[in-house]
Amino acid sequence: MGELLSLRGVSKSFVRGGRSLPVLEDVSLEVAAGEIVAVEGSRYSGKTTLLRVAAGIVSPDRGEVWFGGHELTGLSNVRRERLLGSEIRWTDREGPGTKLKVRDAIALPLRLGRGRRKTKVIAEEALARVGVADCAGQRWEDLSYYEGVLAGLARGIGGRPRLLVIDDLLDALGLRRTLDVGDLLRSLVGELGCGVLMSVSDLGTALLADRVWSLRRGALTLVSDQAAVTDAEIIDFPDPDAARRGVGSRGVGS
Amino acid sequence: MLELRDLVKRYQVGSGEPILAVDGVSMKVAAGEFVALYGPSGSGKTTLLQLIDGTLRPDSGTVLVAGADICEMSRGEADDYRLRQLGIIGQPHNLIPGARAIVSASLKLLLTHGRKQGTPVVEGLLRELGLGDRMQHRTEELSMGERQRVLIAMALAIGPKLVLADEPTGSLDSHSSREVLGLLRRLCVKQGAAMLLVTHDPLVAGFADRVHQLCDGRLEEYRPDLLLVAPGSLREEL
Repeated sequence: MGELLSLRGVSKSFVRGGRSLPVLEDVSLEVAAGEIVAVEGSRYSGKTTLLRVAAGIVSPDRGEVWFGGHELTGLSNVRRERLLGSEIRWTDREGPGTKLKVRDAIALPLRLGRGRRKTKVIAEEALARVGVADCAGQRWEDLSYYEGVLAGLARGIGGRPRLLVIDDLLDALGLRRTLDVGDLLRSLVGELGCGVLMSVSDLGTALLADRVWSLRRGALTLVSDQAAVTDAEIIDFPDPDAARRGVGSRGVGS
Repeated sequence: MLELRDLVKRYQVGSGEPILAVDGVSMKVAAGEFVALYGPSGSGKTTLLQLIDGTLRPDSGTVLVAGADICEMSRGEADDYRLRQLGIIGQPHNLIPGARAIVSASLKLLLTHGRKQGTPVVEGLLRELGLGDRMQHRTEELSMGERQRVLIAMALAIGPKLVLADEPTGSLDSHSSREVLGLLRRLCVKQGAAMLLVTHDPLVAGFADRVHQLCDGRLEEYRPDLLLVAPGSLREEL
């Protein structure tokens, strides 16, 4: 499997209250086609920023983001927007916030990448594929929590992307549904041949991935590799205080 | 343009007495009029907005928009009313990641009209909103105030008869709030749209033609002094 997405030495800071706040520091990461990669971290650890940089939504201060042979930060806003409506799809928990029907809410972002009419058909096909065809005419705000997760996945696969970026969508589902969503995600990846980069907070959700990275204080540590890992004990999360104490991380990748 | 007649909505929680979320509310908002509605959390503001946007049915009373009774509409008709006649101004975090301002502002119009018809309208609105040189910028390159203005352009692009805004200055500093409220008022007057704005923000009253206050589901005379608490005045209650 060749690499689809590659982040190389990416750094990103934000300015808050006149102070520079480093969020990502020299981060490198790769996702291949057919592969699910998870980034685990606590709230405000920078997971969403990492995913936004990977999707070309936010430009890094330093480093490169390569997708399918293109360096994303060098592309114009129009080219990046088209990619986000076609080859790269972003999905998260946020609804459109304007009381749109689910079908329209999924179709709208697809307009970024393609012309006109077909987007509603694509949205309906995607909803049917994840098993919630009957939600197409409902409003996003009226969906149950689990329906919202599945509709979020439908938003991700509409338009058959090469890279699916899932921000904080699959957590807190409980074991049974986490496994169901994992099976669904794995079969979607098989059908589309796409790569997946997702942020997670739950250990159970992290286990759905082929590789799990942990994001702590702006730095990534590889904590598990290969889908064969099914025993939670094998995953050895880094101790967030270890670096400060100078004893090093216990992570597999360290 | 908007008329509420003796609107009542109850919620049954458990086996106790039903909660009166909206209790006999009657009010009118004329075309081109800017009306602010204050109310603390739990006062019934959100329920009232849902009754007006047709996502909730009242137990009794009517909601008339341009003479049509929203409560009598089928689900499909209410969806169509929301899409074509109602400008809903949401929160800036709902904009599509990575989309340019011109595209985000065009999205609702794209659902109702073609791209070619929409672009000049949206460009004109964005210019009026002071975003003439920011149209090609992506969501993440815009400040919160600019994102809020993109949402205003999206809502107004369809030429709505009624505009509903729920805390449109909730994510903004006071300078941006003033700018956004001033622009919103000017555009609503220009388009002849009725504007109902639900808020906690005391600045809003300064821009409104009329101000109402919602308390425990009932519409009351606006008393700004009731919303303010003098320093130290509640110490005795501790």
